[in-house]
Amino acid sequence: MNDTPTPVRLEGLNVRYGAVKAVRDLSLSVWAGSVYALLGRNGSGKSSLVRCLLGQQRAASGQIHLLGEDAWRRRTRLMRRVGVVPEEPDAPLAMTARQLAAFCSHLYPTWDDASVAERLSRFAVPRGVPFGRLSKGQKGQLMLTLALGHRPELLVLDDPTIGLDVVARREFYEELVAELADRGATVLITTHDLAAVEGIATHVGILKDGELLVDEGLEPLKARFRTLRFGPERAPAAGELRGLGALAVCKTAWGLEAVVPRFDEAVAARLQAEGDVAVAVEAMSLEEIFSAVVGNGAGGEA
Amino acid sequence: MNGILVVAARELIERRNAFLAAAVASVLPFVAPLAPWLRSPQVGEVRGAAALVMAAGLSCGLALVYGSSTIGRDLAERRLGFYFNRPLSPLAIWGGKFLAGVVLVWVTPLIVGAPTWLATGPGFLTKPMELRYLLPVLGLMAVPAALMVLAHAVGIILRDRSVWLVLDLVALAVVAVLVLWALGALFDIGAEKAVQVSEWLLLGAALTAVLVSGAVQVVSGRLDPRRGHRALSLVLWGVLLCVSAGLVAFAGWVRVTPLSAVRGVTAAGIAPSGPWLPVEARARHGLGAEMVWLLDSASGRNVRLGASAHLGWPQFSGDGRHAAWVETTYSGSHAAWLEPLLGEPAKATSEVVTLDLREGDLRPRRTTLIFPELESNVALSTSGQRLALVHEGMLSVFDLSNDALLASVRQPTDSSKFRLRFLGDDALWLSRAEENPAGPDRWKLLFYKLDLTGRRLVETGRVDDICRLGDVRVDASGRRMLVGMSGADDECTWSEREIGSAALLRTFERQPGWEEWGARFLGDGRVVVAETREGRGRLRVWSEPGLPLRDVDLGRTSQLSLLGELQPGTLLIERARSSPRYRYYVLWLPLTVDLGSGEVKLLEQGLSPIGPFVRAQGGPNAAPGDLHTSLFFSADGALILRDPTTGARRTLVPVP
Repeated sequence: MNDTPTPVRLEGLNVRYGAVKAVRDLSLSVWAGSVYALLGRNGSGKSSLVRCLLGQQRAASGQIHLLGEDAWRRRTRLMRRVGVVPEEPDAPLAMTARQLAAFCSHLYPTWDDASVAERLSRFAVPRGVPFGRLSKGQKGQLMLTLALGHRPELLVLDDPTIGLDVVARREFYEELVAELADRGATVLITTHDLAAVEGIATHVGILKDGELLVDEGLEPLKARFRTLRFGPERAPAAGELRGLGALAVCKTAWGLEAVVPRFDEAVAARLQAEGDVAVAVEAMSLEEIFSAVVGNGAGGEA
Repeated sequence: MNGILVVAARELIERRNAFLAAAVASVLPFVAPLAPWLRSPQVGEVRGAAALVMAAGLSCGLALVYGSSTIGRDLAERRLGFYFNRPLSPLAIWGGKFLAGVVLVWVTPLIVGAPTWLATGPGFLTKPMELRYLLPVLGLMAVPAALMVLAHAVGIILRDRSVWLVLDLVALAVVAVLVLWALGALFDIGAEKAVQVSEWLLLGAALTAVLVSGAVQVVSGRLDPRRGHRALSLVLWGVLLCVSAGLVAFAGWVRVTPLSAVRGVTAAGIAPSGPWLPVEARARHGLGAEMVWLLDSASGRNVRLGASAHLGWPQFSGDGRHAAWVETTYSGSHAAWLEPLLGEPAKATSEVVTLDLREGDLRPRRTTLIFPELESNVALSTSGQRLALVHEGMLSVFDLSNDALLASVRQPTDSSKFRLRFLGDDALWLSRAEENPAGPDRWKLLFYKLDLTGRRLVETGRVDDICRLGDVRVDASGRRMLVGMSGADDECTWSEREIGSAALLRTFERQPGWEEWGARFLGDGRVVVAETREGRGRLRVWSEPGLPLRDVDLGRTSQLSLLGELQPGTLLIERARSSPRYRYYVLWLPLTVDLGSGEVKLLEQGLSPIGPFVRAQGGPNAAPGDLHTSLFFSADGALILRDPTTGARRTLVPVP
């Protein structure tokens, strides 16, 4: 352990809109140098959480520490060390990339004009065209460029690739990976692009109805989730599935599928050893895990 | 500061088209004189007026559009995050946007007007920087800025569409009711200065509240529209409710001013007999409000009658045991205090109110005698059982035991200069003054008697050419009067006449070069005349049959005033001399004159007799030692009762 504060630390966070609870008693930490992918369906509370995290919205209760300081009270100072790519590109429509870069350069002491110019060239974003006339991909790339322009310690990306085409998404993530490789910044990303984020995330959190169902490293998560496929010869009994801790079970044409959140090799081996039960054990992608956790009404501890 | 400037610069760049529009509009005043409906030989004035209208219109229009959209629309379209995602404090965001708006609404009218001013000359800019030139300019600058912050608040409130909107409307209604009540209450008691101060205070509070609440909305709400709306509403209505509630409390506090807390006595009266006197005084911190009390000078008991602006001066019965006055209320389509704004006069109703001063509980009785606005004060009979008044050209007498009409006759002319006076309970005298065309300050005085049995008004006598209309004096018996008669050289000569028939009894011959300053009866029937000549004053004393008794030299003076007898044979007068410091002011000095020995003494330093300030009721001459000569103002304005024999003082109305 070193003395570097945890870049993001939430404790007992609650966000309410009138009687509606958007985030419920949520606690999580994002460690320095990690890439934390916060996943959830629409309306699960991701954006509320991000707004609170960035000191843009007051939580009903709970503590929010960003880079070791109170996010609400120290927002202005903290934003010098944080880069943000919002869900919807919010730059003024009349401003060109050049004007936006100039505007930001007045606000950040560490603004790096050269790297911004270089990145814009790499993305082929025209510098003299008003923001409103750029394509969606170019807008996203420009927002990422502005977010990285002051070499932030923490990057908060709120569904940054929504609406982008495949190529733009790939370019976005490539740039992000390059930045991570260069400087090792901490990243908190909310996204629906699970396949892409799976390649860069070190930690994953899954939100459902404002509750954090999953909060752990990506590798341990993928290691404990398995799909068990039972052949048609003999379906396992309900008690057996309960014993396995199956999260989701579905019947297929050739048998029965069960998602097991805490896969145990010994149990699988015992099932096979018991006789004529054909069991296939398969690893799961992040998208499959996400679907199993939040889909089909599944809930509770994953 | 850097953040404010960065935000302001960005906002201005985004709205640079407004400056372009202003530049285009600046050409239009040159075209305006060509319009058929604006054709005039005064081309410069048409051009200047067009430039002014366009500049003000553009400025106000921009203020409304910018104010309503700059943060409200950003929030609704989720564009405010552009600032909040960066190291900009909420205050810098608000300040930058406000600064940009101010620049926008101040610079665009300058762009519109500049070519016109350059073409027609700098105009007022060449005038010295006086307040009267600066105020309109400051107004032109302040109005768009105020509109901008107001539009911002309204924009935030309307865009949110939450339950807070209902609370906003309720708060607005409550503030409006409180403010209207408070201003109406202050206006009702004649506190016009307080109304003006309150209006400016409210305007200042409203602008401050709107400005501060706008900043708080951004600081506290940030990207949460509902929270921002709540913060804005709490500050806005909190401030306005506090100010308006404070104003209501102030108005109520002023309205219930006790006599012991007044800021100074402005007028007083004295009943024909008894210890009561009406007192008009400035209400505490009333900024113009004057109220009337009835005060028992013996016991200190008093009762507040109301605002001076709504009351006729209280009149007493001859026995001093009853008082009556007229209270005017305004009704109609709007309150009287809105008259200056709406132009239509409010309907006035006059109501006679009486008070039995013998009762322990001094509670005024509202009679059923209600008229359109009365033309005169009322008069009470000696016992207080009958009341006379003039309304709509009719002289009427009522029985106050049942408010029944006893007699009503048409008054001789519509002259408003008349005075009513009962002799006992059964005879009513009416004296009426008419202007005498012979010269200024010369009058005809006509006397009438109303026979209550025969219900006829009969002229009993007249004096065709009198001077000093206000100085007509009646003796203690109520049968004789002293009247100043205009002479050929416009000087006054005092004469004694019978009060009913106005028959001349005797004349107090004036010696050449002497100017008359007043005359009055003494308690024993003698007559005293005050005169000055070449800066010296004297009193001439005449016997009851009209023979000159003696002259008393009063020393150097320019004016004299006869106030009454302190004791039989000792007269209280005031002598004036010019102020050494202020050329147009005179200093009055109270003196006692022993008419037997001719000794003249200074009464007491720091005391001013209230005599010159007394509003006369028109009764008989005061008896020696009564309130006319024992009431004084102290140097600090308190009303003092001085014992004429011992000189002991008692404060009746203190001044804080």
